[in-house]
Amino acid sequence: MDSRLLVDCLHFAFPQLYASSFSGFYLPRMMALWLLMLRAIGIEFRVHIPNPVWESFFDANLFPGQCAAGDFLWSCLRQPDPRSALGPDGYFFEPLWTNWRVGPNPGILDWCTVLAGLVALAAIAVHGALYVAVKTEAALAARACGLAVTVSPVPSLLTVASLAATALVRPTVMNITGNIRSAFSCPLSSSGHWPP
Amino acid sequence: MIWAASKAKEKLAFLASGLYLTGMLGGAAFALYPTGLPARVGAYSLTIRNTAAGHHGLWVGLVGWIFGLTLALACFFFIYRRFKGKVQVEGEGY
Repeated sequence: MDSRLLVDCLHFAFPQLYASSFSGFYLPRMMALWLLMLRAIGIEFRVHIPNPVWESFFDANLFPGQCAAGDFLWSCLRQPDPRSALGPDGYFFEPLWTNWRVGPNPGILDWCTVLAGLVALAAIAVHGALYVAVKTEAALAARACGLAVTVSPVPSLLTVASLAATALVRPTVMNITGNIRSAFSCPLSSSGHWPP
Repeated sequence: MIWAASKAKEKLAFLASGLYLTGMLGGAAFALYPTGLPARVGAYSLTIRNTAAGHHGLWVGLVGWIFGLTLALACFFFIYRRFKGKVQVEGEGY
């Protein structure tokens, strides 16, 4: 309920941004929800059917379900890409993919956004493994910690590759220092919206 | 993170991983600022300025956000405090 309230606040303060983002990325958002359903099904039903076949089936459901977390993070990371075919009316639609290239006719998925997705997936996987290591003990904790150590270089390498790709596709987003300065001066500069 | 994990300092490694995720999300947000949704045609991009609601809407959003964030943080601390410590792998389930 509380997280829903935070989203509603975005709706109150920036209604067009919320409406355009959600309607434009409707399909990826729905896919994330389907994945979350798979996750819940995998957790809930596993213990109710004591059969190795079904237990394996529900275990397998957990993997794409857990990828939903990476999907949400990917949605945030892909935002700097200027792909949105926003029109003057603030609406847009993009196919899930076209030719997988960055160009005049891109889809939601292309090589650059897939790279961002892989960064998100690897980072979430390491984070999850470390959480399991923190919450468990003995052999399971050691296994989770070992997995995190083995996989840790992957998100680091992918992050460097993704940063290079973002700098190539949209060099202006690398001006983070200037943006931070202007972001923190926002309450002063937007005084038109905040009369005393 | 890699050093801490290899030394079996799981909490430190987890904290470092959390900082890494926070940095990634913060970096993406600041890289984009003040644009919220960039468009191929720059003039059509949605920014925090051209999508901001009126005075009343912004105040409602700010007050609601502070209230919602307080609730979210309280819920977060309650749940993680309630389930703090190591779990028993062979413990009770449902």
